[in-house]
Amino acid sequence: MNVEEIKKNATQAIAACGDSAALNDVRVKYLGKKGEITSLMKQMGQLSPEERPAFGKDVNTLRTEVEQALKERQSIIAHKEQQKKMQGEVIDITLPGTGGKVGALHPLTQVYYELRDIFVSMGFDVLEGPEVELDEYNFEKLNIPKEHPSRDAQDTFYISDDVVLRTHTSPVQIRTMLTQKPPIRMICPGRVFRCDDVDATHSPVFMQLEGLVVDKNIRFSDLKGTINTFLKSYYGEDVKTKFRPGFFPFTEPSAEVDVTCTVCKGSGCPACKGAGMIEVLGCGSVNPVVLRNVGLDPEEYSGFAFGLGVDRLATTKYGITDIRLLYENDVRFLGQFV
Amino acid sequence: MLAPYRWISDYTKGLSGVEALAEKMVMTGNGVEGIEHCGENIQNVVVGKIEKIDKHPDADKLVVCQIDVGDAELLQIVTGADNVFAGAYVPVAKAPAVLPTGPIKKGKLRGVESFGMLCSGEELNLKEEDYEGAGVDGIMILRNEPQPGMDVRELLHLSGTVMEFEVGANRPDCLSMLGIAREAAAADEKTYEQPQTGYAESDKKTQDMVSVEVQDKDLCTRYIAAAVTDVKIEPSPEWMRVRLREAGVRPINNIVDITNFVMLETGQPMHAFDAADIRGERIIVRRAQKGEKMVTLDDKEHEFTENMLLIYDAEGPIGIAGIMGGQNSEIKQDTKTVVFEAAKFGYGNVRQTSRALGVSTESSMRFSKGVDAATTLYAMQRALTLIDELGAGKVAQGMIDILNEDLSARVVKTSASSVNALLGTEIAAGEMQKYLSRVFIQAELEGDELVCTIPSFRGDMTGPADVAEEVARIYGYDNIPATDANVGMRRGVVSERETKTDVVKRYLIDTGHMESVTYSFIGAMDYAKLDMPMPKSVKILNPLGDDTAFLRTTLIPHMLNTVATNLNRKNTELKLYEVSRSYTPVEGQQLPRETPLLCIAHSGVGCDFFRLKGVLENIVMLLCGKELQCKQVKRQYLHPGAGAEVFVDDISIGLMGELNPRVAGVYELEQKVFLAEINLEALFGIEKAQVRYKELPRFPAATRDIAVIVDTRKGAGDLMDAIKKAGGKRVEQVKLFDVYEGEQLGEGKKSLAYALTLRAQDGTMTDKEVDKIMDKVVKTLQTEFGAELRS
Repeated sequence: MNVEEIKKNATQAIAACGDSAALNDVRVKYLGKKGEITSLMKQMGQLSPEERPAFGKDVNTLRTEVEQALKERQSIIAHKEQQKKMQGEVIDITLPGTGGKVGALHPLTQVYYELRDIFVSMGFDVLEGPEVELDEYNFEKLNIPKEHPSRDAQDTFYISDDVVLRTHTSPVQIRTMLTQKPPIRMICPGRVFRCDDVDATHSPVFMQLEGLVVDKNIRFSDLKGTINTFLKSYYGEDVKTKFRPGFFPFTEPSAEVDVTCTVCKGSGCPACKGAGMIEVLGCGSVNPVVLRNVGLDPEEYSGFAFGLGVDRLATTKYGITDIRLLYENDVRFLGQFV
Repeated sequence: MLAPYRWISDYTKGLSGVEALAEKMVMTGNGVEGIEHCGENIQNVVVGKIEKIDKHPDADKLVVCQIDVGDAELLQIVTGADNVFAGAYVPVAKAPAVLPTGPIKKGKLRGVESFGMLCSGEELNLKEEDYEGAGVDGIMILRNEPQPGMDVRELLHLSGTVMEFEVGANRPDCLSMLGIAREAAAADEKTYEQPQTGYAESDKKTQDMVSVEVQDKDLCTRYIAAAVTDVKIEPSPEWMRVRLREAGVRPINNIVDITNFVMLETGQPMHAFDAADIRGERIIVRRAQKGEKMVTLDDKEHEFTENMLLIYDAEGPIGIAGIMGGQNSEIKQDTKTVVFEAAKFGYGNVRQTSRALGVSTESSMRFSKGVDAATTLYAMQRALTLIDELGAGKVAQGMIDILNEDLSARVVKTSASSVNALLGTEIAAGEMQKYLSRVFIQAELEGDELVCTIPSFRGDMTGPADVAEEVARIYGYDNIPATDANVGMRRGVVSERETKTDVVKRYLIDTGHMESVTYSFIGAMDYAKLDMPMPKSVKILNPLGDDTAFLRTTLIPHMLNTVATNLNRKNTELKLYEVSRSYTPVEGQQLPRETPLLCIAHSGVGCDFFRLKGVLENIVMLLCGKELQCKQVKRQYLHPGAGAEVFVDDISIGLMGELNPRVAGVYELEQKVFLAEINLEALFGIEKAQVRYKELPRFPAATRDIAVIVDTRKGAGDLMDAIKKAGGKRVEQVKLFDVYEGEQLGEGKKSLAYALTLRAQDGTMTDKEVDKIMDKVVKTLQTEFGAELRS
C-alpha cells in the first residue's frame, strides 16, 4: 500500500472510532511496532538513495497527520466519555447538607451583646463587679440607708447583716467612682437578685445593665440626649420616647422612660395594656448625696445614671410571655434564637 | 394608693376628667397604676315601688309583684322573697340587666312571666355597713321613698371612679387624699383647699382623764392624745362610708370610721382607745420587755422583744405603736369615752417590728414610710372636728401634745442658674418661682438666688437637686431639650476577661452548642445527687426554699437538670454550655471569691469523650495557642474509667469526662452524658504568645512508622508526648494511626502504631540522621513504657 492509500484508510478508521479502546486499536494498527506506517518506514531500505529523502518525507508527513488525527479524535472521544460519565453522576441536590448544625447564644446574651455594642461605640467602658456585695455598696452609699422605706422596692437576699446578693448592678458604679477619677463613662451588666417567687413575670435572678456618666457640667438634658441616641440605635430611628418623672434614691431628678410598643407600634395592644408605649428604663441625674458618699464634690462634678432589665428587653423584643422560658433551657426554645 | 375621684375632688375643685387628669399626674411624677370605674358591673338596676302583690297561681312559695319603675306601665316580676310588701321601695333589675353575679334576662317562673329580678344587698355587693338593710336575708328595702326609675347606682353611690397611684418611697405625703389632691392641683393647675378645723369643746379636760408619758423619745417624736366624752357609737354618715368603701376600707362605726377617714385623708394614722380600759388612766410609750405578750384587735397574740415600741397603760401593753391596738382597749358598742391617739413613731422601728411580728396594716405601712409631725397635729384637729360635726361625742378641752422634734420650716437655697445648669434648660427665675409655688414651695427670689421654704410634708426635699427636680417636673420633662454630653470621642473598653469569654462563646455557638442560663442557687440535695460532700458554701439567710438556700460552687447540677428536662421532652441531641460564676467563701473576708466557670454537656448520637475533648482542645488553642493534657482523675460524678483533669502548661483548668452511670441513674438520664467544667479564670490567665511568622520548610521531610506493643493501661497520648520529647525539635509531627488489641498480642497488651514526620530546617536529613533519632525514640519507649518493638 502506498502513502495515499494508508492515509485514506487511516483517516476513515479514525473517524469511525467511537471510544478510546477502538481508537487505541487504530493507533496500534498504523503506528504500532508492526503498524502499517511503521512497516512503510522499514521499506525505505529497499529504495534507491535518490528516492529515500522524498519517501521519507512523505511517510513522516503521513505519520504526523495520522498522529494529529488521532489526537483530535481522542479529544472528541474524551469529551463524550466525560459527558457520559457525568450523566451517571447526577445527585439529588435537594438532600440536606451534612455540616454540623450551628448553635445559638441565649436570647439574654444576644440582647446584651446588642446593648454592649451600642454603648461601647458611644464610648462607654464595660465593667464588672461582685454579685455577692456589701450592703454598704448595694444600698447605703446609694442613699438607701438601713430600714429606709426605699428598701421596700427591692426584696433582698441577705448573706449576713452586711452582705447581700446585689439587687442591681449599681454597686459597680459605686466601686468605679471610688477607684476612678472622672471623667467616667461606663456600663455595668450582670446578674442581679430579688427575693421574688418565680412566676410568669418574676424571677429571683435576672440580668440588668446599668450605665453611668460622671464629669464636669453633665446636665439632665445630656441624659435625655444619650438615652434617645441609645434607644434609636436599639429600636430604630422611628422610635418615640417619653420621659416621665420617677423616683430612685440614687438619682435626682429621676425619670422613667417609655418607648413605642414593639408589638403594636403605638396603636395599643395587650402587650402594652393599650397604652401604645412600654416602660424600658429608669434613669436620672446622679444624686449629689451619692457623689458625696464616694468622695466627689457635687459642686465640681455631676452625672447621670440609667438602668434597664435585659430580661424585659428580651421578652418584649421576642414576644416571650413567660420569663421562666428563659431559665428552663429547652433546646427547642433556645434553638429559635439561632 | 387608692384615691376615689370624688374624694380628691373634695379638696381640689374643678379637676379635669379622670383620663386627662391621669395623664397629667403621670407626667408630673405620680404614676397611675389603674383606673377603676365602680358600678360598671351593675346595669339597668333601678328603684321600684311595689304597687301590688298577688299569690302565684301554681307555686306556694312565689309571689307576683306589679312594680312602678317610673315607666308608663307596671313591671311584672316573680319573686320568692318573703320580706316584700306592697308599698316597699326595692332595687329592680329590669331585664335585660347586669348584676355582679351575671346577666338577668326575662323568663317564666312556673308559667308566669317575670321581666327581671328584685335584688338583695348581697346581689349588689353591699353589706349591712354600707347600707342599713343590705345585710338582711331577702330583698333590700330602700329607705326614704326614692324616686321610682332612678338608677340605684346613683341612689346608693355605687358608681364612682377610683384611681390607683404608685407612690414612691420619697413621697409618703401622697399616701393620703390631701397629698394626691395637692399633686392633682399642681398637675392640673387648679386650686387646692385643705379642710378647716374647728370644734366646740366641753367643760371636761383631757388631762383629767388620761396622762401621757413618752419614755423612749428616740422612737416617738410626737404623741398627741385627746379625749372625747359622751360618745354615741353608731354608723357614720353615708358620704363618709361611700368614700371609705371606694378607698378599700370597710366602714365599722363612727369612731373607728373617723380614725380611718382621717388616716386616709391626711396620711396620719390614728388610733382610738376606750378610755375606760386605760388602766390607771396613764399612757406610757416605751420599748417592750422581752417576752411580754398582748392580744391585738384581730384576736392574735403576739410576744414582744425589747426593740419593739409599745403603748402601755399602768398595768401592761394596750397597743403596738403604729401597728395595731390591743383588744383590751378597743372601741366597743358601749364605749362612752374615747382617747384618740395621733403620733409620730420612728419609721425604722415600725418597719422592723411589723416585719418581725408579721403584721402589716394600713397604719404600719404609713408609719414605716414616715409621717410628718406637723400633720400629726392637723390630723388630731381634723378628727375632733369630725366628732363635732357628726355629733359623735363631746370633745374635751386641751389635748396632750408631747413634741420632741424641731418643727421650724426647712429652707433650701439654690439659684436659678444652678437649676438651669443641672437641667440643661434656660428657665427664667420668675417662672421657677411659679412652678415651685404650684407644689407649695414658697420661693423668695433674691437676684438669681432662690430661697425655698419647704412645706413640712415634703421631708424628701433637702437640697438644690430636689428643687431642680420640682422645677423640672412642673416645667415638664418633655420641654427639657435632649443634648449631646460634652465628652470626648472614644471607643469604650471591654475587659480582656469579657473579650476572651466572647471567643469561647462564639466558638461554641459555631460548633453547634446552645447557651443555657440557670439560677445561681443550689441546695444540699444537689450535691447529694452527685454523691459529693457539700463544699463550704455561701448560705442565704432568707432563701426562697431549701433547694435554693446556697450559692453554687459548680454549674454541673443545673446543667444536669437542663439535660434531664430536655431528655424528658424527647430532645435527645444535646450540646449545651453555660458560663456563670461559682462562689467560694474565703476565710477572713466578707465577700466570697467569685470565679467564672464554663460548663459543657454533650449527649446524643456521635457524642463521646473525644468529641468533647476536641472542643476543649480547640478552645485552648484559640485562647492560649497551646495543647491541653488530660490526666486520669477520680471524681464521684465521673465514670471511673473516663474522667480526666485538664491541664494547660501544667496548670489545672478543670475536669471532663463521662457522667458516672450511677449519677445518670439518679437524674433518670437514659443516654450517656459527657461533661466538662472549666475554670475560665485559670484558662484566661494562660497567655497566648504574640504570633510570629515562621519560615515555611524548604527541605523535604522524612517519614517513618513505628509500632510498639505496650500494656493496655498505657496512654497512647503519653507515648506520643514521649516520642516528641525524645525526638527533639526535628520531629515535626507524630500521628497515631493504629490501635490494636488481639489474641496474638496476649492478655493486657495492645499495639500502637505511629507515623513520624521528621524534618531539618537546614537541609535534607540523611537516613543516618533519621535512624539516630528513631533509635532514641525506641529506647525511650522501651525504658519509660516497657514497650516492645513490633516487627
